Amino acid sequence: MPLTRRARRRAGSRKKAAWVVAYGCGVVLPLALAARTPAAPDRGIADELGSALGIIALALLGLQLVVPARLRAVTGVLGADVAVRLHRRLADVTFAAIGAHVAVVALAKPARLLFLLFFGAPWRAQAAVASTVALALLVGSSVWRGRLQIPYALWRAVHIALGAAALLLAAVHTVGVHGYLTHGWAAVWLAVFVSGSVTALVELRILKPRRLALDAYVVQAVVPEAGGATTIRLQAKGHTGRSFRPGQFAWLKLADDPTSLAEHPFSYSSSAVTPARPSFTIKAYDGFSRRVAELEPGTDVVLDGPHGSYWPARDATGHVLIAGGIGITPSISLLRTAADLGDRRPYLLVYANRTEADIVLAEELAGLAVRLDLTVVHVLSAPSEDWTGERGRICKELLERHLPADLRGYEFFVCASPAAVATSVDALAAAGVAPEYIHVEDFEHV
Amino acid sequence: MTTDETRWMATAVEVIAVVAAVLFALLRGF
Repeated sequence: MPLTRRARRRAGSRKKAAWVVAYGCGVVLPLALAARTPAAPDRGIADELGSALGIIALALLGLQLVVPARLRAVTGVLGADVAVRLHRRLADVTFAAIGAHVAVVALAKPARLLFLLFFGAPWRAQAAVASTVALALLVGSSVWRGRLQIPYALWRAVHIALGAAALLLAAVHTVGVHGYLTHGWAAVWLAVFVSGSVTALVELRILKPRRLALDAYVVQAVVPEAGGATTIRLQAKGHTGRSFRPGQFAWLKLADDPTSLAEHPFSYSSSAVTPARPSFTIKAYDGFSRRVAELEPGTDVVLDGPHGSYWPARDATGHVLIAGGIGITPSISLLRTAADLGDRRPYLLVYANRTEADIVLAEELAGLAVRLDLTVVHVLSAPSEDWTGERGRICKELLERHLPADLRGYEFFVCASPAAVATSVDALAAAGVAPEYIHVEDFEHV
Repeated sequence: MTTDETRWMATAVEVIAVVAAVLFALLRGF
């Protein structure tokens, strides 16, 4: 008997809860091993708490390298998009653990604050300060990447280098302190954990790209679209293509240099029925996506994908898709797949753009409206005077004008800029849609 | 992702970490 939608969601939540418990065990394991070491004399509760926080901070730091590494154990359960979001949230937890470690250690013996001066401090303290500085740079370059206009490929190279440096320096600090983690099984954990975390990084950056390069795709056509977008049509080279679900995405990179950091995640825009001929409709925002838009037919590319945790519900009675600008790509993949499968369920697409000229794939949407039970509502924020459709932005009132009266069994998919996603989700919630039926993608999941 | 699921996951990890650190300190410090 097929699972009901609620049962499937509960199963998904259980998997995530199990994943959190496993992660928690990963964090707690070194403490449990350290607890087997005989207690040193003259150590008060503050010293012990400082050590515990330091050990936890090290474990969190190492696991931070593993979570976004697109390993099957992570992406299979969470999806690569959720893994990246969790990585961001856990960065706060990691930083808090490091801050608490420093604060408690200094509280136990205030003279240790002098170690922060770096010069003249013991090497174990220098390693700790350098590790924290690397982390601060890493967080700063991530938070202000947009404002500092750091190109994506450069940012990733810096991010990975600083992350690995922070972990290795923290491990050097740990060895220098010669405390709990350099004795017995805890020492074994330290060696295995640090080398394992770095291995995860090597797997993502070097080994996996080489494997993927064996199953390359060739660019068949590069088609300019409205609104400054470009469609890249690919053909699997000597294989049947990797199956994907509509709404998923892949990292695309050039096959002549598969280990290069120049890569970018793009949503599949083609029908999932033909995985050997995937296509991506992209908008050139930065250096790499501009290069992709200028690719010549015949060029070999590599896809690291599919990724993404979205599962279109087979038992949904209808779908509401909300898209903004180039955020149409996952929706167009959903609609193309539905049309190829002869889906007769109702679809409503609310598509926001600035002007008529910015509407990506307008003709194709009109064609899909004939093949499917699809209603397309275009919303323009700066339309021409003779525009007769919806004006302004997606809001509660607009959605209420177009949403079907009975939304039972409907699934909702939103893909737009973060601000538009927030407005749309609020508007759907105000229209009475429960959050578990709203799937969200925004442009900034990397 | 479905809205907001990483928040409870990160909070759960945080709670596990804090409880473990405090327990460790209490067990070892006294």
